[in-house]
Amino acid sequence: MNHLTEEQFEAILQGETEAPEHVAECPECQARLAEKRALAQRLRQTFTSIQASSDLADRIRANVAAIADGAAATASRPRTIVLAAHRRLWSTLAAAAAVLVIALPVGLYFNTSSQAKAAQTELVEIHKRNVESLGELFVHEDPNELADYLEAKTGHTPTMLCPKSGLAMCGCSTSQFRGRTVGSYLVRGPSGPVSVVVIPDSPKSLGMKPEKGKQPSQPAVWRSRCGGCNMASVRIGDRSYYAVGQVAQENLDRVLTDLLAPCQCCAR
Amino acid sequence: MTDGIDGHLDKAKRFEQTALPNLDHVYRAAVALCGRSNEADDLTQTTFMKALERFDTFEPGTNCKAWLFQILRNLWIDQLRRKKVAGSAVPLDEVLVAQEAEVQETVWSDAEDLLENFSDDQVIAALRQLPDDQRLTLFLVDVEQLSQQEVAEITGVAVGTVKSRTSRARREFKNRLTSYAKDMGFKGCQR
Repeated sequence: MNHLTEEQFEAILQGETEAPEHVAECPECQARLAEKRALAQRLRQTFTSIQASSDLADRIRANVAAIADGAAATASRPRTIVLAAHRRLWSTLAAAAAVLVIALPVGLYFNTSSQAKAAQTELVEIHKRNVESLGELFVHEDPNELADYLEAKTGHTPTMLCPKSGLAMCGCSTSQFRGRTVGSYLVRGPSGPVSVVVIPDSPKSLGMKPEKGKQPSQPAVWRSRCGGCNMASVRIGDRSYYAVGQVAQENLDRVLTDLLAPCQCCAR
Repeated sequence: MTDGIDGHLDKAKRFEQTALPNLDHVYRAAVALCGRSNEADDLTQTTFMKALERFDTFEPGTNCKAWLFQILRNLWIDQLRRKKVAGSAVPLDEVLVAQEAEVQETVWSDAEDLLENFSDDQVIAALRQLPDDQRLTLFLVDVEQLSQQEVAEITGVAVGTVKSRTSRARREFKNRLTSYAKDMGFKGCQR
């Protein structure tokens, strides 16, 4: 008696073919088929009860919205140039219409620019609150505990500075940024305190300017200055890390360099 | 004049309507690959961000879920490569597993009842012990009930490979559960 091959069993399970007559007459093939069906059913039963958390769903929706906002903001800028070029081509008769055409994107540009400035101001405010409310920060000597705290509060585990970096970790906190809860931590370097704020929004969407790394492998560092603070940002994974403080850009670079460097003792 | 802005906002809206309803499916696939962990959350989130970035390449009317699974699989492989724990397609352990299974396999006496004794976590743990591509293939075939052609496209192999991989994966999955069953003293699964 020829029992069914594995391929035949799979074809039956997939609904490609009906079970041949042999199965009805062969207890062994019946049992094997029943067993395979039961395994598939048990696996299906296990996974259909699993759902993504509402927290994860919210985070993804917030990221989609943030990226769309950022892309829309970026999209508004070149339009201004294109329309300005068009304006030069039109005759005086078209001038009145051209004014209308130009006015809208210019308005959008300034709106975008003011939104970017407002976002930068929010980052500075987060830094200032971190410095002023030093005693209210969540403090732990182990950076992993701080990361766990922020993960619990924001749903994201941030990359932390190595304890051996020479920068003293003061603690971490959560704040509101563009209506969302975000995490940050405060470190104290030789020249003063620096906050590292971790958000999904790209530095481009915040109107910051890129500066390419000295080596091709080095990521671009985005820079800006707002409210008496310097700020620098790099992208790590799906988040941007903003170093903000009333210190020189070189001091911010030191923080970002440590964040980007692979570290044996921190397993990153 | 605001086509660019409207375009981006419209893209985000279409993405929300087309891709986001598949969130649970993508998350389950991430759990199949990473287990119930923050890693599964991160893989799911990264998958959707990557999908949004590439949404212009998605053809409306085609299977969005399968498209998302393909992105998830590629990201997962990238992660494995970064961690330097994966070979190109992890074929070696598949072969070893298949050889082992052929020697040891016997049929369970009452599979349905026996399987009810396992917790969901044990089922997930048993699945997670399979080689990466076997794990995803079995998940896509048995849980998502995708066709072998769709699974072949997602995993980048021939349909014949999907068939043999599914068969080996199912056998190995059973072997892993058998080990748990023996540890717990269940009857009906003795070799």
